[in-house]
Amino acid sequence: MSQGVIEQSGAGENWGWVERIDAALNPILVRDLRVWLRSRRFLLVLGIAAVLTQVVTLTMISAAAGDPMAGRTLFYALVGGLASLMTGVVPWMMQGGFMEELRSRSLELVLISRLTPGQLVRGKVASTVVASFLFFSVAGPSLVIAYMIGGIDPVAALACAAALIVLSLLSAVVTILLGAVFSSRSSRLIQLVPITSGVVSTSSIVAIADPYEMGHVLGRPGTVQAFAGALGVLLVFVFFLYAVATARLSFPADNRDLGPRLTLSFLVSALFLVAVGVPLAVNSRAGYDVFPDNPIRSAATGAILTFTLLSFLLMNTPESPSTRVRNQWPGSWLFSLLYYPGTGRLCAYLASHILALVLGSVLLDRVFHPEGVDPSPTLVVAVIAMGLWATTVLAGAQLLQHMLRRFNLWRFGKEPRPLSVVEVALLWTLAGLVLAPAAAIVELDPISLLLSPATALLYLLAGLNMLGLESESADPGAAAGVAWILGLIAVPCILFWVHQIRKAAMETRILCRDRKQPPARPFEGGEDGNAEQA
Amino acid sequence: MTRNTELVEVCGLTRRYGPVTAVDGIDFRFIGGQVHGFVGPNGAGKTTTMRIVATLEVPDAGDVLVDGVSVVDYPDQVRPVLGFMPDYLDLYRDMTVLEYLDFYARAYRLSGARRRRRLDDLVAFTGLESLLERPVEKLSKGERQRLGLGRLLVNDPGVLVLDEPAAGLDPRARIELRTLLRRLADMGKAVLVSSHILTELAEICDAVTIIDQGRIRASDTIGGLRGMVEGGVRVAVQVHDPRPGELEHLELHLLEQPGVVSVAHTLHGVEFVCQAGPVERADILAGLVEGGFRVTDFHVVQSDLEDAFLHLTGEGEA
Repeated sequence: MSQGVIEQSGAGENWGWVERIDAALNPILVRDLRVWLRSRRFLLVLGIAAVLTQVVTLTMISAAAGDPMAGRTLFYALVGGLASLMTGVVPWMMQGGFMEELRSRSLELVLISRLTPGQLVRGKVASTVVASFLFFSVAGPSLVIAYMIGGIDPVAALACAAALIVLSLLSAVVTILLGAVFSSRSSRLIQLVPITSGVVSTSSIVAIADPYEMGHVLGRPGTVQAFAGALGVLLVFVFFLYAVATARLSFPADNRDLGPRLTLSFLVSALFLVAVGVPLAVNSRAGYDVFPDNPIRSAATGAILTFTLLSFLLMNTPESPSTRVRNQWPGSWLFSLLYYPGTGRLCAYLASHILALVLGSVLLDRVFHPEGVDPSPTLVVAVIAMGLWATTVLAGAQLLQHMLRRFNLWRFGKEPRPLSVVEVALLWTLAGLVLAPAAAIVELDPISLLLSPATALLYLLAGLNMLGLESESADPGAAAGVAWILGLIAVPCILFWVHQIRKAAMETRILCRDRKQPPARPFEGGEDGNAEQA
Repeated sequence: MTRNTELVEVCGLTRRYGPVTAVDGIDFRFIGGQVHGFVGPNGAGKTTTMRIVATLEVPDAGDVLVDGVSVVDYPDQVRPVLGFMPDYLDLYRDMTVLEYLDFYARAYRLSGARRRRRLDDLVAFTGLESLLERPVEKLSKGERQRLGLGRLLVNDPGVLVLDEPAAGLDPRARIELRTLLRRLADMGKAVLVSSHILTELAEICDAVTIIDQGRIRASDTIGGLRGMVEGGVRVAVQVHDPRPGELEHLELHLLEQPGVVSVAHTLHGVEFVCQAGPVERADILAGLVEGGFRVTDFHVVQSDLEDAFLHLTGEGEA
């Protein structure tokens, strides 16, 4: 086959170091930075951040004159503000462009070049991180001033820097994943999702690290391990989301490597479990039990974790593979269940989740309680809880949609459509609000319940003492931190899961009787193509 | 640019979307040095076919071979020699023309001096020299289409697939696009272009495939398609100030001539379809004059691609 561009980069050329660097740069990174640095919106936000930083610095210094801890207070205030920017605002700005690329299908043309989906995702993450560090640099002088004033523990400063980097990566990759997964028409509203993720992830770190008491907390046995473990978990999670986003951005023609990708997903899942389990086990040995001696809570946490992982695993499948591609992978008969619209897929999802619960419960129950606590009641409770949880969400979605249609509020456009991410997020928030009174009963932080309904359910069961659980934990702050992390992990996957169920229900016309055309999918047909499909 | 001679074969291509069969076992081929038109009404399966050729979709059955290499089994090998221009604008509005082309050149792993040379070539070929620093959002439709064509050629592909490239262009931009496509074919590239502007295709295409309801209705050269429609040559005859009954008399006279298949009335004369050659047609003209008909016009009517399209898709019969 003759080929036009045979000239490969660098062949027979003497390059200077500038050209070498230029050749090594990710094209997406180059393009995004060019566009961002010309964007008035970006420059405006950067300018506002700079002004706010200076105002905060001057205000706090003047207000705390003579206070030996003024530097530390200023430092953590700046870090908190930066965390919000790097995990919320920057990904939000990035997602706007990414959604536009997906909507206009410009990414198709990028992906049929020599740029791989992996390079695309890496480029997007890199550009977000670089933009985040532009914001960081804005606060640089103030941070130096804070350090010079004194009162800052270098270890705590390093921990904060590490946390900021990880959070920036996590927010970027979550943003990309959400952009790649969801094809919501309410693109403006969907941009709120990364902000939520940013707030949740920042809260997680704050809850664990407790920066105002960093020195004290660091002195506790096991806390350093917990902090490192949490960062490790987040990093592994970043990698996992990266893999999923890459897969979601692949074309059907590139999805013939389904088997290896699923294998990779399993491996990453195992890594994930190790990353969670080891720090927790270390903590347990060190006498700083994140989870009290409570098999049911441990098992249910494991179940939630495994459920989350399996959900992502199940999501890591082609959007619309042809029968030809499906048949090319020998083990595809199992996963092909997922492709069949309607009840079959729904059942496959539910069955796999229940399986995940059982396996997860057994695994973690054994890890944390090797002495041998009878896992049977644990499993039953976990399965029932998760079943109730899923059913509640689905029923809630149906009810909400029914109400909206009943009062003529549903047809935002001309065509019926699936629930958007924001609507599902709203449902979760409502679920959290319902559970909040339970939090009051057991004196838990209601904010954590709102952010993590799954954890809320767990605490609800504990709080009601229905199952003979202990309602006290060794350290509510640390437990809430871990719960928040779990919630952070759970929220995007739950959103997608509900979205998938919703789509399956749409296809079986459970929720939408007058469906006229299939829901829009990324990378399927042009306008003409859609007309052809219709 | 290099001279390419790819042969693209579409073999038994089928693509279904649920119960709908968008493309139903179609076969056709096009080669380097040729502009191949792809014509069909809305929903005929053009875009689906082109997206499969461009490796953006996978068929349920059949395959597309680019020089014998399957786009289904080896998309990564085929993509470097394929250029696809979709029917939507992919343009990043916040970038300048130069940045846009530079981005795609980077995406195709062109670096350093090679990238600069390539961009220079593209800019010169598409006539975008004066627009390099202009933001994409401020380009006219024709300029954007030229930029899209530049993007298409970044990797100097041998096979170009263009979905409705002339849609929405003004006449001048259409002529420019037509000229560029012809030049690309002359370079040896295989060009597959779909369009609803059939007269445009007739002027630039060497061959045309007509698709309707997911099936190929015809695939031939322009001349071949015309012959397929008519079954002969259509000839228009006009007479000066026809007297009452003269046209009926003319009709009867023509029907008696050898090779004349059918005759129909027009405003000032008749049109007849003749399977005979030029010599026989000259004899018919001489016979008309000798018969006392005051013939003011006698010419062969060139039917256009539109006739073929309507005929083959059955729309003309309605």
